Amino acid sequence: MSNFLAEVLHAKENATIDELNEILRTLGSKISQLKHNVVQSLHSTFVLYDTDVDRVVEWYTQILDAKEQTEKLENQLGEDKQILHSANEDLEQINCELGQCQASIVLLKSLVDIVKNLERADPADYYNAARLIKESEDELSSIAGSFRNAEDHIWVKQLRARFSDLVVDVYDKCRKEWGALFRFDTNSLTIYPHAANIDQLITSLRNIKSFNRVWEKFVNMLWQELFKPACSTEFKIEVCESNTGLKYEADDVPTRERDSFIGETSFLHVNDVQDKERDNIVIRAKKLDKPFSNAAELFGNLTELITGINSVFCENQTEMTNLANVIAPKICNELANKYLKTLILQKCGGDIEIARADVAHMKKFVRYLEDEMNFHFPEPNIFQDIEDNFDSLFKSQVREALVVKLRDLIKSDVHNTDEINYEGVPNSKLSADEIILLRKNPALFPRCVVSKSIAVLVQLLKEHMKQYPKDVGMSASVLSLYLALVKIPKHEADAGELVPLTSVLIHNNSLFLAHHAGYTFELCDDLVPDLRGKASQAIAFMMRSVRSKLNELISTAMSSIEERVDRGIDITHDFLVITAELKRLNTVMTGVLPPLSWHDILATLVDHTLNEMCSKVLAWDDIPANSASELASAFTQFAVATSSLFKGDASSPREVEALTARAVKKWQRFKLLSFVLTASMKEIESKWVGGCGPLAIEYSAEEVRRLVRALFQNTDRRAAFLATIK
Amino acid sequence: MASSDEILTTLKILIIGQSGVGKSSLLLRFTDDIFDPDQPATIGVDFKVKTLSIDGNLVKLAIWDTAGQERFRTLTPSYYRGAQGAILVYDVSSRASFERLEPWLQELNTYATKSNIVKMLVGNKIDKDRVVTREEGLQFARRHSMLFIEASAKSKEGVQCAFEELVQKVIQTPGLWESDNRQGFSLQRGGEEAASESWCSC
Repeated sequence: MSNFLAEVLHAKENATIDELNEILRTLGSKISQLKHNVVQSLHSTFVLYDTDVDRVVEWYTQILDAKEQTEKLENQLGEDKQILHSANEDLEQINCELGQCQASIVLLKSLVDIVKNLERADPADYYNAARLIKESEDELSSIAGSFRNAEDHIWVKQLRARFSDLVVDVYDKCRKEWGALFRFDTNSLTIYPHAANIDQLITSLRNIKSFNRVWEKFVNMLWQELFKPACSTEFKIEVCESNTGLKYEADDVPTRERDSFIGETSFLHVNDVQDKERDNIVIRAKKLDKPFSNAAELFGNLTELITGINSVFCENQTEMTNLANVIAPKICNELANKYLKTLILQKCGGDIEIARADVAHMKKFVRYLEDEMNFHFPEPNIFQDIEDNFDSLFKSQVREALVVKLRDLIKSDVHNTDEINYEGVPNSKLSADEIILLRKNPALFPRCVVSKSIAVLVQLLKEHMKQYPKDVGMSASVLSLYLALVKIPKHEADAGELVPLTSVLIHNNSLFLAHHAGYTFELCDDLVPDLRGKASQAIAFMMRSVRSKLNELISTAMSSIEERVDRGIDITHDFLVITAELKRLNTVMTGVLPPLSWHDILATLVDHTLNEMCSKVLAWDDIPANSASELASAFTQFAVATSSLFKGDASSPREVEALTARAVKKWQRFKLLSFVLTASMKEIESKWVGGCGPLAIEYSAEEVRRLVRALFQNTDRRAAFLATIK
Repeated sequence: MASSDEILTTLKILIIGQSGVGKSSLLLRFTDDIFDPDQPATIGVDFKVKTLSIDGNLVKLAIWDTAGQERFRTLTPSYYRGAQGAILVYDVSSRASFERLEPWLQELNTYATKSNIVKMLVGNKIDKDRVVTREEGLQFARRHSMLFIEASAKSKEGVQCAFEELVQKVIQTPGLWESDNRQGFSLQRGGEEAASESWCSC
């Protein structure tokens, strides 16, 4: 055991805590083994002596002591271990602080470098200044994350402010240099290639991160002053070289305030280049007196312009690509919206070969720009669209142009008229074949007047159908358009400028179109009823309008007759005013409508007039003799004057009378009323003849009795006479 | 002149036919016993009244003479309304006037409101050289159930007889005039067959 203890003590002096622990664990196992051996030996011996017991007890006591000593040692070792651990932590902290010091030294060095760079950066030497700024900026950005406390941030901010000031100065210088290179004016750009090194300028602007701003402004100015005009047909692009230096006074150059850095600046006034001889390139969009109509000229304009710009940026392919990226979509958009289709598809006047030649030219133009100028258009673009869909676009353009033209015709003045007379060959604009065809036509259109615009419309449609026989929907579209555009108000109050003559012309136009819809154009049969309906609406409106006017005149003529007669006023005049109105209408309408149609319409209007007059007289309860006499006289004069409207080739008044009676249904009724107004009861009876006479044809027994009551006094004789009228 | 009380009834008679066949001359001869060789063409419509005694009864005739010329014709359906008798006239010296009878008869049948209207065919101008035989006229009349007579307004022959025969036939036709007549009346009438088959040959 003593050996064990000695071993432990020895280990305590030389070994580490861990080694000591290990020794203690080995020792523990050795003691256990020893105990085991002792027990084994006890069992093998069989005899236990007191001495042995004493020895064992002694050993045991020694072991307990040793164990106690060991525990003490172990506790002491634990305390030592804690002390050692604490020392290690202190050491690590010191090491960490040393590392931080080292980083701060590096950071400080970087800052010193940045400051040195900034001090060296001279805005006058913008190229180097911009390079130094960029390096410093990069450096500062790389160490920016190292600053953690607020104090650091303050001086980093100050440093950045210094950066900004410097950038402003360099930008100012670059901007002036750029202005010396490119001078914009209204629709012109003058380039001074030797005014500055464009590569250095671009690099410098990139280094101070201001290139995009300058470039965008430059591209915008290019678009506004040159490319946009170049996309129109009203400008001609001219590119010329000149060695005439432009002179600018130093005072002309504006001084930019520092805080206006972000603000708008103009290239127009920026030029501090002193006058000297230079080879200038002038690109100008010259306004033309008359717009050109050739697509080739448009492509020539754009080619000239892009070539001119490319001559400056030929070494800077990136910039040309950027320029194309911005400008090319705008060109496509501008051309798509306005000019290209117009030039290629419209200006060819419907000649597809001309349009095809223009498309070929367009393809060459696009290829040239892409191959030679590195100027690519976005995909898809208007050029591809036109090329790929030329046939359908051309046809659709032709249709569109025709529809626009026909729409204008539909909306044009209807009073500019043309006579339709298919029967008179010499005056007709139709071919002999067409006339023969129409003569065979069971529904030959009658002689009348239609609006010239509608006649032209039909002609244009015919030509279109001849050229594009498969475009069967065109006619229907145009006729539908006509139906939609031509409006007939339902109420006279909404008539506006729609006078009776206009209505009649619309009627004729509609029937003319209905005629062609039925016999000339294909697939338009469905529209015939609508067109005829439109014609009916128009004529009905005219009739309503004229009737309304006539009613007013009739009311004027037949009001207060008794009073006017008593005052000796001639009542005939007012009736002749009605005739005058009918005659005026006849003058206006004769020849406009087909003769037979107008004859019938006039007869209907006269019929309406007479019916109104008869109705008013029949409504009167009492007609004094002198009023009846004056009224009969007025009626007779009115009848004579009005019947002249229907006289035709009649030679005698009786013939005129007969023709009028034949045309106007109520004529005899009116004439008989005139007769009755001044007739005796016997004369009335001679016309009644037991219900078999002329009076009975036009008047019912009740109407005759009513007239007799109004005209004659209530006497036995009148009563007897009334009794015979049954 | 007969008073209205003595008039048995008033009958409406139409005279129709081609232009120039002598309709107005027949009427003038019947009503006024006049013949005008230069009678102008009727324009529109003429109307005359004549009172006739039939079997002792007075009948007032309202006779409508219409224009034959198409351009002056105003004979609208209303003129046909209520007619009890119609005289269809042709010129025996004009084949064309005979051949144009059909359309006139068609118009009469179309517009006459009384279905049993009495129709009489009169071949006028028998004083002239005829081109239409009596037999032809007779056959046409038979074919269309018409009374038939040949007459001359110029020589008066057959004129009075034609009107009297027509009126008598109207009077004998039941339901044709009684509704318009407000007096009791009795007339010796032949049978139905006699009415439809008879024609005057005087």
